Amino acid sequence: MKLRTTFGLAFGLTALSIAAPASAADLVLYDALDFAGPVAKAFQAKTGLTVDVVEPGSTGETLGKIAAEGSNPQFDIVWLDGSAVMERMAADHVLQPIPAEAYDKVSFTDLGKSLIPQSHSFLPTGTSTTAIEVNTKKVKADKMPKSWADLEAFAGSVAAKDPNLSGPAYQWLAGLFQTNGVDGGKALLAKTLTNKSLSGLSSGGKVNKAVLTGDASVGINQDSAIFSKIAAGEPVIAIYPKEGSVSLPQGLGISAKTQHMDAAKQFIDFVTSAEGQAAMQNGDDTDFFYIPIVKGVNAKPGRETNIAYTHLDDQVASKHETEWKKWYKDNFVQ
Amino acid sequence: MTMVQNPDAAALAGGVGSALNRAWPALARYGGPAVVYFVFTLLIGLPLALVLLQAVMPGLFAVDGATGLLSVEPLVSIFSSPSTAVSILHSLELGLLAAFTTTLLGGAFAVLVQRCDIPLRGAISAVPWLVFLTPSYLKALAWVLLMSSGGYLAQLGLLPPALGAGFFGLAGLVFVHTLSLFPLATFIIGSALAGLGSELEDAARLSGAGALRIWLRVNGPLLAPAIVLSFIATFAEVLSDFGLASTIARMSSFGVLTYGIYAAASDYPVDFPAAGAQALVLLALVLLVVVADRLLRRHADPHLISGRAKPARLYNLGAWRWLVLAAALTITFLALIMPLGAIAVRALTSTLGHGLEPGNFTLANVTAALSPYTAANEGLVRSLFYAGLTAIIASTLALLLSAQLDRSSPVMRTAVLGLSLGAVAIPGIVLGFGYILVWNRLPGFRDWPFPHYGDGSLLVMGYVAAALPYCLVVILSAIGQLAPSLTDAARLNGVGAVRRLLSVTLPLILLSVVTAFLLTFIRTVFELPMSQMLIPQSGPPAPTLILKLFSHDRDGLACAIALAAMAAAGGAAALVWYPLKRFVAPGLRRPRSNIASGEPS
Amino acid sequence: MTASLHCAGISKSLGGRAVLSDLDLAIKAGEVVSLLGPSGSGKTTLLRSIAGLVDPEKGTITLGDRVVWSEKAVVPPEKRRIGMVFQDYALWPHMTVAGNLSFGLRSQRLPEQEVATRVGHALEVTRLSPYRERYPAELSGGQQQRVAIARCLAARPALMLFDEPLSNLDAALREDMRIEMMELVRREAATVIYVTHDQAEAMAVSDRIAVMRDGRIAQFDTPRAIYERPADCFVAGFIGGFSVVPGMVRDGMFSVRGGGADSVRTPGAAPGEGMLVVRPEDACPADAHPGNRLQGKVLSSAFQGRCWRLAVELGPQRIRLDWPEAPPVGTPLAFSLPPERCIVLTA
Repeated sequence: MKLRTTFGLAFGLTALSIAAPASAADLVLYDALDFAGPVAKAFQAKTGLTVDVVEPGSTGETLGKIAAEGSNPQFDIVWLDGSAVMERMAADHVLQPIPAEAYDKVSFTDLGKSLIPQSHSFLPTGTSTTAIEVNTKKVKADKMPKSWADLEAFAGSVAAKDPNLSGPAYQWLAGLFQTNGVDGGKALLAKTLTNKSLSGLSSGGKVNKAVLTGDASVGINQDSAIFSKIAAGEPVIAIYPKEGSVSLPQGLGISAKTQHMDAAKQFIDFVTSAEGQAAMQNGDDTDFFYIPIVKGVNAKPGRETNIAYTHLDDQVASKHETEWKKWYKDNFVQ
Repeated sequence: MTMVQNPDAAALAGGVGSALNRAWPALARYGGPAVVYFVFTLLIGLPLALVLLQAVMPGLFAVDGATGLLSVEPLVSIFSSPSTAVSILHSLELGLLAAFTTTLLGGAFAVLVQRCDIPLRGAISAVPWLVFLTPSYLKALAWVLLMSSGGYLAQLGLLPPALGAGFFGLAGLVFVHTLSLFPLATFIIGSALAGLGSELEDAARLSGAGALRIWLRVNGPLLAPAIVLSFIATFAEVLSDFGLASTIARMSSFGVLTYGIYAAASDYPVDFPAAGAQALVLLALVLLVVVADRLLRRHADPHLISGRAKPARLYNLGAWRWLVLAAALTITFLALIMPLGAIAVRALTSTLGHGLEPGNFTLANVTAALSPYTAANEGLVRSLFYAGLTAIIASTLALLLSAQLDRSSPVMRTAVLGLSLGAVAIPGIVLGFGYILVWNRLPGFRDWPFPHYGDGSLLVMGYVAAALPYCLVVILSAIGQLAPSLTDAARLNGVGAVRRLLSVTLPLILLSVVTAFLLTFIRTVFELPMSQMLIPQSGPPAPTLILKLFSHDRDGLACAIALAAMAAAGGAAALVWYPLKRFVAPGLRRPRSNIASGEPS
Repeated sequence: MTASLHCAGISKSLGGRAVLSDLDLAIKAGEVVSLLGPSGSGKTTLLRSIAGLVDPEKGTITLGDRVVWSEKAVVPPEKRRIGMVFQDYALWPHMTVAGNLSFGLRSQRLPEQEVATRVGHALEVTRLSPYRERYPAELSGGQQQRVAIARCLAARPALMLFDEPLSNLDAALREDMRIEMMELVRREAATVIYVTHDQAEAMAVSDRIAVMRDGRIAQFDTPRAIYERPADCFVAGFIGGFSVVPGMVRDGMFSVRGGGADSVRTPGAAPGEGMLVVRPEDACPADAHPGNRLQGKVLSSAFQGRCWRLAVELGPQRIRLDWPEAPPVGTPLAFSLPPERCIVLTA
């Protein structure tokens, strides 16, 4: 009697928590991009299809969640910074290839076209790059760095993201090794990133904070993060290194297990439409300052788009990913 | 064959009845523990086991075909990696140091509040509670805002650069941990102190012992179990802490194990084996301390200090009391007012860089957090709802389990208290990770009893798992203070189990149950790791939102949400607590003396 | 309403130690029986087994014609119709006196009318009617004790258990309460088991006393029989005031071990080692029974109203004697014991 009651009450209470039934939305979106919420809202308003936006935190945390879900992914669409990780998920059959006609429908700029992966693992929706973030209160105008190599002068006062925790940071590292040579790049970083408390940060926000508070004079950061701070009135500027910048596309992928393919296609169409692109700019945070790659769409005011790009060899980058990340971790983290 | 033992009963009913009756002793003996073990296994054991298993079966959850092959490779690799070895040392060093300082400060505070005649004693005794209820990551973030080289203290010119630099390292971590964990030590040592009373001390004084000698030779040894428990509890808390690990420790490049687990779990593909192996090391460290304590105190009499409060006299400190008051107020200022102040200021200003300039103040953040239909406000409301639900479930479950446990053997009770304390030491991040594995990857669980993963209900379940140990400790100790004869008398008067629980036990421990409820409510509003790992598809709860905003450098809005959440949680708690206390107190304070009057033979 | 109780072959161990071993006890309906014994003798465990608060390991407990506990069938305590007065009274502190009385009755879904009648009656016989709306904490110890009894009476149990009910009262109140309590119990003709470690209390309240030792019943008899003929040294030693003196019986004469040449006549005592039982009130002047003279030395004296209680050294032994006067400490004392009162128990 006593036991039955205990069981009954316990299960009754557990049942109480079913109050909100498991998601019945038309699409589940996993992302780590500031504009995903507004875009989903606009999409919903236009099509009537509901979207659950799941944002566990940083790109790393989102990836961790996807990885933990493994062969049973719970999302329909994933939308993240970084192309390499998308390729990897496609290789693991977590993502399915984007249908070819989805690319054809979009009038990409030349930059945009260059970002379409051969594997069709993702659809690029915009891009950004890595730049040098400088605190203008800390660094005099005549001392401004012009290249990655110039950062050596700021040794110990350079904030950087850990490529182990950030997709964009890895693409920067691979880009640096491509432009400055692997050995030259390693030697340069060894001389520059001498303060481990600044060289293993987990997000662009932390790089911003380090530069804004003056803990660091300069930072290696995603340029959109820098422009959002400039727009907010903070005393920083973005400098593009003369070695050239590696593009960091935002990719949108479709789950291999999705049951909502039609809705996913509609979402892709919406994102690449003028309305969708407008929604992607409807905010003041980092990611809203992306570089558009659809013809006829302009970036947010103040956002630099005239950038000298250098193309990253994805094959080399993904071949050495584990090795280079470990090298970075062992040398500049902890 | 069926022996109808009960001649009163009709043949049919008698057959059934006697079958039930026959099962009764077995059920009573094994049923209660079975329920308890079931709850613990489902909520804590299974998820934990899956995480730890990966340390020895690295292929268990591999995306391309799972294998159950045993391998020592993950353990070997973490021990051979210099960064992991360093983080183990760091964790140990930080844990031991902080446990020492925390126990010292907490113990001193307990003596101060319980035994010293200082002004404002009532208000000061509320301080540990308030500190205990503010989440550690918020305090850590507040200290970052205060102490970083461009932070508020530097802007005010109050922070010498050397001190600021020194803060981001072991010293700062120990400082912040001590200030945020000392309430735990105060509670543990304080309750032992209440159980100790003044009688033994008076006897020692009459035998001619001085105050120092009394504390060293009488009170000290008798309080030793509580002091050791406090040391272990704070050690475990520091070791499993994620709030400071992901903020100050991270910024100081002071790598600790919890952050290592987090880092291993925040990548694609997740390094499951490394996460599992580090979790294993972490738990082994906690376990080691608990076992060492058991071995050292094998012969100690656990009943030396009873759970019941005994009368105690206050020390009259004379003029010294102003100095002591000043010390207590300083701690209050450092542990509570400064961090909360920093968060409030950040919530009310637009940029950190412009600091306290008048033009920098704005209500935009707070407005955003409080206006309906903003993401910030929705997250806040969602968290309050989840926290309320969690608090109801956890405190009810704890009440039911405690009632079960009170009937069972002392061995069982010790085991469950041990399990609860152990569960407190399990980092939320490990448990949350385990929840994903159980409810999304383990065959049979995905849709049992209903699709759970990605749903708010799983998050609530995770919250319950995180809160249950605390609730159990609070409610078990309250039930332990009741004379068992009160429920025995009800049984003999023919009162059934449910009425006994609702009409006898519950009214007498109502304040403790409500305490457990409020504690759970407030802690859940701010619970971080579970919220992060089990974020529901319907939208993020407040803590995830706060941290996300912080990492996206929108700390103003994050602070505004935190401020609103604290105000809402605190307000709700006060609304429940004070009327209830007024309502219950007259009926309960009188009986206390009566309950304590009889010791069963 | 009142029932007989039969316990057969009850065994129970706690933490590996046998607390009750193969214990038998039979009590007639309406009888008042005390369980008397030192702490650890198993009396409380036996009481709690009868109540159902503890499950024995072996044996059967039969209440009236109903088996309430056996290895096959167990009636839970809430269905046994057994009432208990606890040592700490176990009054529910958040209920009024009337609430304490009616709570159990209402739980058994008795009609309101019946509840009111029973509560009213119980309060009346315990003279508690004026206090019915008070909370337990607002009552004196004696009143709380009466509430506990009233609660028990209102339940009309088949068997009433008293677990050292007077031990929390001061001495002055204790005897009054005891008399009043037993009057009530006798009037209701209840079957009662009364646990105590105070032999005077046991003697005063019981029809029969079960003296317990190490989980067994050492002697089960009327108070008078136990007083006159304790079954063994343990029982004799436990009955207050008795002194037990080791020595040797030869030819019907008992000589105290190490007590010199003195010996007393003990008719019918078996020869060999033995223990002489000395009741304090049996001490007579030396010349009353010249053949049964003993010589000792006064160690201390305490005034007891109608006599002095002396501690007397008899060789290496100490005995207690009641004496009409108090000789100075250290003086020799000669006294005699009536031969027919001298019992020698086997050692």
